[in-house]
Amino acid sequence: MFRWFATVLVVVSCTSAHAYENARRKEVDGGVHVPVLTKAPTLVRLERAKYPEAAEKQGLTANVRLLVTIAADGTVPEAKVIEPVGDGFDEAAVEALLKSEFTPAEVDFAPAPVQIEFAYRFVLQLAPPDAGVSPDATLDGGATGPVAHLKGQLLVRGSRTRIVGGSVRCEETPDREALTDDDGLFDLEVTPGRCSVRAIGPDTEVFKTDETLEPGETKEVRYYAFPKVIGYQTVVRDKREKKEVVRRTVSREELQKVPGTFGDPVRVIQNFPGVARAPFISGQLIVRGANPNQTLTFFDGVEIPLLFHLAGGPSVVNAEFLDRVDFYPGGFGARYGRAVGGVVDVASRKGASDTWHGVAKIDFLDSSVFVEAPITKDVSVAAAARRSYIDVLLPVVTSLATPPNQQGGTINILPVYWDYQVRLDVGKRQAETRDGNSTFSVFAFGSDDQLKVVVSGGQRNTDVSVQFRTLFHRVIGNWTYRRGNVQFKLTPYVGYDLASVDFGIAKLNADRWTQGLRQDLSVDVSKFVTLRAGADVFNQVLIGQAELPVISGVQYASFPGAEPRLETQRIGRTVPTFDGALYLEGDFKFGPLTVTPGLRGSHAFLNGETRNAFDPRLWMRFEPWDRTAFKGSVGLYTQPPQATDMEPPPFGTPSLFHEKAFQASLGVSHKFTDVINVDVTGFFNRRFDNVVSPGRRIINEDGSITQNRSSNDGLGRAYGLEVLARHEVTKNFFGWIAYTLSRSEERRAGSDQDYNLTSFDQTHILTAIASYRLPLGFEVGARFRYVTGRPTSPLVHNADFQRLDANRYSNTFGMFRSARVTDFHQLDIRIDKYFVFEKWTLNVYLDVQNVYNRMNVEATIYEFRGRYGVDVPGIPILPILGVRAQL
Amino acid sequence: MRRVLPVLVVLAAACTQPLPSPTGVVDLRVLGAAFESPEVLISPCDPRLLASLGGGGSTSQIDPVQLQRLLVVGQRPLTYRALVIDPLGGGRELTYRLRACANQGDRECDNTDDFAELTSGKRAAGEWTFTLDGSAPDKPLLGTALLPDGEPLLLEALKQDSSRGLGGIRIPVMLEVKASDTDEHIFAQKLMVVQCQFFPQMRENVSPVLPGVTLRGEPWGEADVPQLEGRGEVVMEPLDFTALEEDYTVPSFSLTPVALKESWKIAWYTDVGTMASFETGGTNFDGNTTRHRNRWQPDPTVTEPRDVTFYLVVRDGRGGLSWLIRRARWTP
Repeated sequence: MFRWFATVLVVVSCTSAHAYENARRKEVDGGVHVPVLTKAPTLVRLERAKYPEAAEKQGLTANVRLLVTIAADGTVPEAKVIEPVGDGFDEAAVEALLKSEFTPAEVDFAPAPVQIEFAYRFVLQLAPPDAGVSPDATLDGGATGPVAHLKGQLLVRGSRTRIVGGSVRCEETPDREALTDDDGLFDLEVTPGRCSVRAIGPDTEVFKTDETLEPGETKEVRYYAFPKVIGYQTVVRDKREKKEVVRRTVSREELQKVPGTFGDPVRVIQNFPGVARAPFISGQLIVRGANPNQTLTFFDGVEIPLLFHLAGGPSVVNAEFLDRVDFYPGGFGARYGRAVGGVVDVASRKGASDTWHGVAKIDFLDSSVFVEAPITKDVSVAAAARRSYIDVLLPVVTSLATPPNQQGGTINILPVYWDYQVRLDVGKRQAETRDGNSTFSVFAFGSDDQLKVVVSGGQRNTDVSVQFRTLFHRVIGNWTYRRGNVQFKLTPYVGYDLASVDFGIAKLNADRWTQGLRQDLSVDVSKFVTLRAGADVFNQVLIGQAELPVISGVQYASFPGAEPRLETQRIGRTVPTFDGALYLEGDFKFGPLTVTPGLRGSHAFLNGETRNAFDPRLWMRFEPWDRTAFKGSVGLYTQPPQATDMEPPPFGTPSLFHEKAFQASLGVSHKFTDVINVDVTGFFNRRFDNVVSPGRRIINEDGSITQNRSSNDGLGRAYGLEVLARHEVTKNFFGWIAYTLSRSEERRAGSDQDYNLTSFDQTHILTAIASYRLPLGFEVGARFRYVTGRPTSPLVHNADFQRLDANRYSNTFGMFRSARVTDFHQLDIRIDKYFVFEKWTLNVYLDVQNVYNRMNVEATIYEFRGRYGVDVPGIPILPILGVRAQL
Repeated sequence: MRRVLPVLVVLAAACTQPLPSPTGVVDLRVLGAAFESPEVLISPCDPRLLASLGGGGSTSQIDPVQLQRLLVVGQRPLTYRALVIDPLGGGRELTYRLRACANQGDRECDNTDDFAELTSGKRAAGEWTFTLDGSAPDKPLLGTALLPDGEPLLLEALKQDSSRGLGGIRIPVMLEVKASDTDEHIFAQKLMVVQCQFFPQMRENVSPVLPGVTLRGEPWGEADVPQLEGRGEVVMEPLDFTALEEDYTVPSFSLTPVALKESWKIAWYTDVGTMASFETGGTNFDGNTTRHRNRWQPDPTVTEPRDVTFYLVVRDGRGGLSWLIRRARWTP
């Protein structure tokens, strides 16, 4: 004889603390007001589903996943089966859900309809011996016998995350159930005696244990349920309004799992359409034909001076601190400016509010630690730090791997880097007061890179002493206020940068102080109109000192052959920069059509020169069907020159002005399933007034020469097609296929030359990424890339051309960039293994670059007379082992 | 990344197949060429004149005294010397042409109406000397040479100089050498400098001459043929010449004097084996100078005793150049 019960297994979306916090993090995104889930719905009453009779007779069980719509009053008007299982289970689950009830969810602190994913599990179970006596009646009656209480907390094994909305029951009394609250706490009233505990939470396996309770006893317990998904966290994917034609968003789960990126979040961007492959393992972002310095990187909306340690190493922000990375290859909103290429906006995350967590990571370059914890109910803190130890390991490795230092003397190579991040968040987590709701945060982060190379003495002819240092600190405050349909965000920040170079007799030191302010206001004027406006202002002062030789070719005409001993000069400069921008844009909805005009105006004071810019932009989005959207944009984008480039000649060019780009794109996206979507976008970018070097040389009447360092003579154009087929992060799989067909060209204004291919032009760029979770805590991921070889000028040798004064040969090349190096292709694989302990998780990973050891061409060096060239291969097969511990 | 990428290229290049060292002279090469004197000074010189002439101003609009002063330097006789090595040639005759042109970017010095023939002929490799004193049609004066359109070469070179003579008016002189029995074909460009004396302290350049060289610390005269044995490296070093390196002055682009000091650079060659360093000396871009110690690395494939010739070509960094030749007998 069987007796059945149906139990709730998964209430993913709205009952997860992580879900709530994640939603809160997306309050303002790119100036776009994003509806925020401010209160999750909780289950008030679950209608018991009727077990399908035929299935019961056959002993069948099932797990039905549904997409449940919860109305603003908490009722369930609709429940759709996501994956039909048949045998009558689907209909039974839908019927039960439609009769169930939740507390209303709140979006932007107002009751609102939401959709959640829900799982209904049908389990057959032997009826208890005393089936004839209703335990409910006994306990519910409350007076017929003694009871006991099983109280405690339900946590996720390995991470100690509190399980919200979990279910705890004794198998002996299956009709009695306790649901865990926001802190994972539960209180189960049970019949004294033996209790076969069965606990389960969202995304966890069933936890079973036995307890024995005396009459009247209250037993305190703590249970750790094994997560179904190790490493991934439950994340709400609330729908983000998207006015841009292309915005690629990478979540934290994807950021750390893409093979070949060493878990480096920013490098993941390089795997999206529109981004050319950078040489070697550099982190350069070459977006739609723009130069790397024309794509800006923001951290929480604030520009940072340095993206990677040692210019090509790991990114300066701990990956654990990141929530997501938004990448706009073009056509970005008016909130962003000062860039004619793309924009990368890296968003940090607030610390955990349930309990403290930590991550420690060790690999061959550095070690890092990340800690997050709640201080009070509404205050949380997160901190991270990293320090390299290449300076310690390098001498050991080089002494083992290379022959003894035969020339004697001293060799010291000491690269050192460290970084830190600290974030404090204050703000009520849920209810809005009558005066609205405010949250505050302070985020401090910084980075230091030092490279010291000393080679001297012994039999060497040349002593080398080089020391570089790049340091920056940023402190970003944030006040976010929302009330009704108004949202206001204020982000003041200060920063300090230091750059110093000590190279032989040359010494340069530059201190830069930055103060800035961002303000964003979003108002939902009506159902059809949303307005956004804001300010983006910063002031910088650079104080630089230099002691360096007179510069040949810049300050006087050099002669080839043997550089003379030079007199040194002292240069001290103070370079002020002010750039204030205002922006305004609005969404006007006409049924399925949304039109968004925008304007950004800026006034800049750059090293004594005044420059103004106005960028009109327009976006259109047409959604004739629920899953399909057509998108288009046109706009003007400007980027001011660096104030330091506007120094008087010969060190700069005061007459420089804004670089400009006209960007246009047109695309369509279609969501084939809830997790698979395809996006196709065509683009055309026309860049003009680009800053190029060298600048014009002006012969003055007195015979002197004004040598400008650069000029606005650069022209460029890029056009192409981008395709992205993406499978969102699910429990076992994520991945995407990115393809770009493009052409990027450049020329110099005033020359009689036609457009030439840029050095980074890559006709076909194909990237395929997939990551799949295997049993036993294993996960395997792969990345395959195919890229057309970069343009090169063919070597044509018909004679030796010698410059005897310089003692060098000139190579002879054919038509400029008329050939290409061989195509690039490479496979990278990453294997993760998770060991889940009660309170922590150990992750050991192996990231193997270039698995089949393809000899890709990264550069070409030539025989000294230019008679032939030899290809320089890229990174050979490179396995990297790392360990990551998560508390 | 601009700092790291070259390092990556160098590291990756270390994994590629080795390229031949330029220090090993195994076929037809021009190792150096020099003018005597290496520089002609126009004294005094008005920068406005150069700016005007360089900008295309008509010679009729220029102060005739100044113009004459500029052109008179062309009367100076010059000697052109070249060191041509042909170890496998067996004394074969090589075809040569010497011509001057106005454009330094003219790789073969034969742009239409933009070059002047100086001399040509055939001769075997060695130290070639051409006198340019105007005494014969094949010995024209370089400074007064005319282009086919009648324009003085000197003025045309000034016009095509983006520095308008502030680094000296530089006349490219091209030595073309061709072997008739192989496809060896060399264009070797040497700049002749006509410098304006903008400041009184400017002096005409003097060719650098190495006072001597040591082999394993011992003096090594031109007539000496020391015996070298074994396959170990052999240390060579020039005698100290720091006292010969000249102080000199050049104009900055803003017409202020820039004080400099020569920092000679030596290029090393050998016809057997290689040298450890291709060039020694000079000033690095960090402002530090380098020493001149070098090592000869014998050819490991040679088994029989050989005569070995070493060539040291010294440059002063302002157009001056000379060379030393030393010989030794090597028994592997």
